[in-house]
Amino acid sequence: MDLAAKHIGFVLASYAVAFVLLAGLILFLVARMRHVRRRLATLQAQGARRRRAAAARQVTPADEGSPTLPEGRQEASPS
Amino acid sequence: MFNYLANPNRFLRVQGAVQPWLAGLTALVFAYALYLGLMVAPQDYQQGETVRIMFIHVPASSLALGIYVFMAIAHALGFVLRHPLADAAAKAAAPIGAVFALISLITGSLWGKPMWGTYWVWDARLTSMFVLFLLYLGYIAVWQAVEEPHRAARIAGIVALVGVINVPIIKFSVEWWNTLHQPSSLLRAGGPAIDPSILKPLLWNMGAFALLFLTLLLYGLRAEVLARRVRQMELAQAGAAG
Repeated sequence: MDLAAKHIGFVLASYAVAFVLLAGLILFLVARMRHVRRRLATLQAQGARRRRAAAARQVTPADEGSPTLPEGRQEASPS
Repeated sequence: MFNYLANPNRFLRVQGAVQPWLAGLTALVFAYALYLGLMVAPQDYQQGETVRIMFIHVPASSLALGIYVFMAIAHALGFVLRHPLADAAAKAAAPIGAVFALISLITGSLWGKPMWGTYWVWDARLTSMFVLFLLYLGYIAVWQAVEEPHRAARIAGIVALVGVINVPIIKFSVEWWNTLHQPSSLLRAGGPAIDPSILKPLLWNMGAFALLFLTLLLYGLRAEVLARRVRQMELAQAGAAG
């Protein structure tokens, strides 16, 4: 390429414009991907916390010792 | 392959494996194409060095048309076959097509000034290409403006399917009307009217742009699939909280 040629400025400007626009497009797509991944990680962490909290709220018989009946119910006495 | 990748999880796996290789190949082809276009291709006897603008302008223009056709086909498949990734693929392609259309318009103006003595003229080819750029912007605006994804896909699909009529108008405008823009030199009856010393760099640059589109499309589609997953999780959490 002859950099001293006539109208060379138009050629260089064209390549510069294409480079800037394509770089901008790639940066936009990368930024979007990062945003989505961050949001997904946050939601997955929130979901995991909720599941752990729900599991901790459940009362299991093995943890409490002897089995207990629900309130209001009495064990049947031998006749 | 088409139905195989309809499963989003399967698509994510395949895309993740293919993406680095595709990106690397794109970079290599671009490097070689730029070398051919800037260092090897000779000056044109009439246009001088400005002929090198062709190596960006023509690929960008061709792909801007091709991508809009791709979007229309994707939406048609979405409407007819209910392919789960069809409208997502069209949505991912739109920004790429819009940028290629803009590159075509700007580089065309920069080529027009030394060749025709003007940056712009409202002839059939330039005007219809500008309409295509506006169609791209309108399509993207629909996805941004309509919150409900299925409704957005339907409206965007109509924009794509109706707007695609502009593509043959652009292609044949130089034959149907008296235009300042030159007639077709590449895809024409009788074969290309371009010397091989210019044709070879042009074809390599077209290949580079096509690979770039494919790379960015798959990357953008991955982001779209993950964004839909985010939306589903947000809705599920809102439902659980409510």
